[in-house]
Amino acid sequence: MGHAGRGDRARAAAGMTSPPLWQRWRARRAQREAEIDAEIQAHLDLEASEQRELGLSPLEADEAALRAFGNTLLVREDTRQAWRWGGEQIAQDVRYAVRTMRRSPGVAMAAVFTLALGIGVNTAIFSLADALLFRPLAIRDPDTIFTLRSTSPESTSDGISYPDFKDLRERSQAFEGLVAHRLALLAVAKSADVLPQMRMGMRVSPEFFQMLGVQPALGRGFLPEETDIPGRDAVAVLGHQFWLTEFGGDPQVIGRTLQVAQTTVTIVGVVPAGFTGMDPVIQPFLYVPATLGNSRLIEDRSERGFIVRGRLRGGITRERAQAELARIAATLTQQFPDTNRNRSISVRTEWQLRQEQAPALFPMVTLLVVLASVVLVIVCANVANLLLARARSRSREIAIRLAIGCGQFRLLRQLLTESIVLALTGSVVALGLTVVVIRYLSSIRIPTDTPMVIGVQMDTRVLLFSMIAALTCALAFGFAPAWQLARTHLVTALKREDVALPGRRRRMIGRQALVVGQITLSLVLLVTAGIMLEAFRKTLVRDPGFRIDGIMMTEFDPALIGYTDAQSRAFYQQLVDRARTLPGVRAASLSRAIPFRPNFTEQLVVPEQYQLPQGQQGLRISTNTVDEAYFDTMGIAIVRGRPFTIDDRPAGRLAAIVNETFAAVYWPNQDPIGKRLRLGATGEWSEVVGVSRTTRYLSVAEPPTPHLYLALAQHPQSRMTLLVHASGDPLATAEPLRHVVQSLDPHMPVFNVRTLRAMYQDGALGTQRLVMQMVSAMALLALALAVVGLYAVMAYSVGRRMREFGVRMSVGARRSDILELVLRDGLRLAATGITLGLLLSLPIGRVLSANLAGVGPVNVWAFLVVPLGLLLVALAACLVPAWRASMVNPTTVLRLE
Amino acid sequence: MPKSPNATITRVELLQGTLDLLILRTLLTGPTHGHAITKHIHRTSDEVLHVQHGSLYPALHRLERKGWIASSWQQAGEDTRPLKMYRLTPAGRKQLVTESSKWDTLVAAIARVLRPA
Repeated sequence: MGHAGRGDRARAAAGMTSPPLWQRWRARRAQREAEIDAEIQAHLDLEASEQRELGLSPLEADEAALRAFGNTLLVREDTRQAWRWGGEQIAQDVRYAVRTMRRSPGVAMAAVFTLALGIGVNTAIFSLADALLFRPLAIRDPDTIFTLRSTSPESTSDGISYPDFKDLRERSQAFEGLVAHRLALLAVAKSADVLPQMRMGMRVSPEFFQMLGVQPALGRGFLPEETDIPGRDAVAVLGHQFWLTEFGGDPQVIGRTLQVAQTTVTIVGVVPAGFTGMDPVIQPFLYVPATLGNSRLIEDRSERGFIVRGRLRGGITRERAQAELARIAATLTQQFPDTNRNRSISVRTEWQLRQEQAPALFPMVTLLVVLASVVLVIVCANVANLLLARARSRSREIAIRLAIGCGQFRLLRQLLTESIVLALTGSVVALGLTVVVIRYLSSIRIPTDTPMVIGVQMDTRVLLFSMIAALTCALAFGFAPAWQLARTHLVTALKREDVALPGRRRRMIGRQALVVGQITLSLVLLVTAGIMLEAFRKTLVRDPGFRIDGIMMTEFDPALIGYTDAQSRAFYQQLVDRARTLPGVRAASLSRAIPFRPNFTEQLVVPEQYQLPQGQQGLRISTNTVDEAYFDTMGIAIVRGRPFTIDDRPAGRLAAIVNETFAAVYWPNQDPIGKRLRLGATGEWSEVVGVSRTTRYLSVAEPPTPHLYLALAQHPQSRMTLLVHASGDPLATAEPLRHVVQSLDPHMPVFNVRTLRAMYQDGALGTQRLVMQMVSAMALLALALAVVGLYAVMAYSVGRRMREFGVRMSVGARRSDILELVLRDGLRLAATGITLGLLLSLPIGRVLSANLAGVGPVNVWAFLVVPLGLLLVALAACLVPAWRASMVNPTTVLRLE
Repeated sequence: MPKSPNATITRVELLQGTLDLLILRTLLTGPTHGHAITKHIHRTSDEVLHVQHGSLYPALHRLERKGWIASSWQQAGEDTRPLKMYRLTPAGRKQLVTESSKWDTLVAAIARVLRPA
């Protein structure tokens, strides 16, 4: 209108820009609303004047006009509504919700805080689960990528050898591209005169980056010719993290050289920041062609170390690909009977592969997710109770809104918006908590030299999850109060009734049920935590079967710096001899593998006089290659026969030592000494010379497993760990050992230097302890929430019944009677919850005991102490409201009539 | 809704779409203001259709937003208050034709069901 136009012109004249869009929009809206009012007023005036002409008095005419018109307020609102866009309604609802929250800040803050806890816990657990299990590979179209595994009757999932891979690549039509990769420890140095460091790298086949769709951040990937011919081209692509830490993110890094595995390689590219390799946990420092350096890996058809992945061609189903691969595998079996006997290929999805690679992870993650969800349910119950309590004080406001024509549906939507605003605010606060937890989780380092990182991070997936959790919460806790409010009985609400009508009793039951539910769930959580604590405690006291204290470990691999087999043997012999002469060293020994690490070789073993299962060529037995001092150093008892001695020479009869479980399973009731077994279907016979005690090998909780030891002298290895039993502090031997190594060869890299005790604490127990901590934290949180919920309901109910208590006291009840009355009510709720919780815990206890070693299904600690404890805490929670009730002054209360 | 003491007139609940149709038809004869439209509908339907005055205005504004009618404030004389006049737009005219024929089809169909030939 003119007014606005003048303002605009004036501003323009003054050289200012016209007001922002939203200001103009607001002005226009105000103008329109004024017009609507004017129009309605004009109508009423016209109608009134018509009525006056019909003979009514002015007052009556006005009334008649209004009556004919209808609800002016409603008409005005509806007319304004005609001009509003959909989102404006939502904006209006949100504004109203915020205003309501501000009016009762205590309730709002309590709700937001509780929600933040629940949503925060869930988001943190989700981010962990995402990092370990869910997150897809950071490559192009990860759904079309499948993994190929080699299978045989003895093994359902092995890697694929490089020659097999090359044949598959050539012959397969079902895949648009096939790549092979494997993690490999590489000796890396910036220049030739620096001691190389062991770094986890990845050997890749041609077109690795291209097929996966990974665009290098700098430079390029590998050219096809670079990765095909062994030893010709020495190039490398850096991992992003490596580039940042070792080269400071230098953009001129392309063209510089590195020493990798005794070869000078040129850096040709850097991978982008988002790509951390093909494994959820291990991030390679750099990528090299598979053909670099050691050619044995890529020429040996029986060396099944590569992971092969392929992108399925469009239109081809997985079944067709599977069938084709089976055919190709059959041809290979025919062509190469020695290495490929009974071998087939199977196709796996990423999800299946992850389940195979880390079977223990799934139940653990499931447990954590379930527990976190239970905590969230308790949180929602708490907030629902809060809102229900506040609903009463709002009933008048709601009644007025309903009376002036707000539809029930609109009101419901409004109230739900309030819940959503609460929940989203909670989730924003939760983000702070989640960030802290994520920082803690990602700081956990798995104690190896390889870069194993739990890549927990705050990314869009986590944020999205947080929002979805918040919205689900909002619906869960918001719906009941909103529904109840929307059905407010107008008359009683407007009359400001405070008397507890008989009908009202019904409503309290809903809230009481919520509290009982909370107590039930928190009991279940506490019992779960209790059972797991018990299992963990038992694990700690379980004897692993070998010496843990006083052992120092150092790992070597002379092949990485080019030693021949003979040179390695000589090195190791000197190393162990010199180590034994060091002061404070009681024993030293060499071993291929160490406990609690997945580094045992799975050897195909054929024990004589044992009937193998149908179709199988042998048994897969975990095997270690050790020297003659191993059993003494590790404190493992030899129960029959003898350990290896220096008489078990390379040229002599092959010796083997089995553990008790092996003997019991494969030669029951027979004397194992003198029995023979062969390695591989066609290997030489080895004679069993001794039986060792069964110990733990891979994990502290494993059942007794058959195990085989081979003599180092007869089966020389390149990669070995030196185990040193020290009489004092094992760490004191680290420095002298380093001197020994230096004196033998200053270029020899050493890695994984640590004590066995440290390995046991962090490696073996570490994960379990972490899970324990998380479960306990959630159980305690649930307890706190349930207790707060109980307290809130009791306090509320006492507040409502003050008059009743006043009446009771005035007719002769003592303070202690009132106290007892309230306590009884509260304990009744608690007892119901606890009983239900115990009933629910029985099947859960059974499930847990089936999966955790060492716990029976009914646990005294968990099923007796925990419920009693919860009862006591509940009693304490009820005490304060009960005390307040007993302190009521009858005259004061009764006067407020 | 409470009935007025002299209610002999049947109040027929009008669907939102039907009210729109009536408004468009009313404006076909010429531009007018809201109050006159209610009177016109009341009169032309032989006093059967007594539209509650208030329900007219949301409908009018909705139609205006859709572009089927247009409005302008006009002053009839010097001492009379300005009135908001509505008129039919070409698009509205087309809409009226469409809706009328749809209505006729509907009515004919219902009639066929009620009085099978």
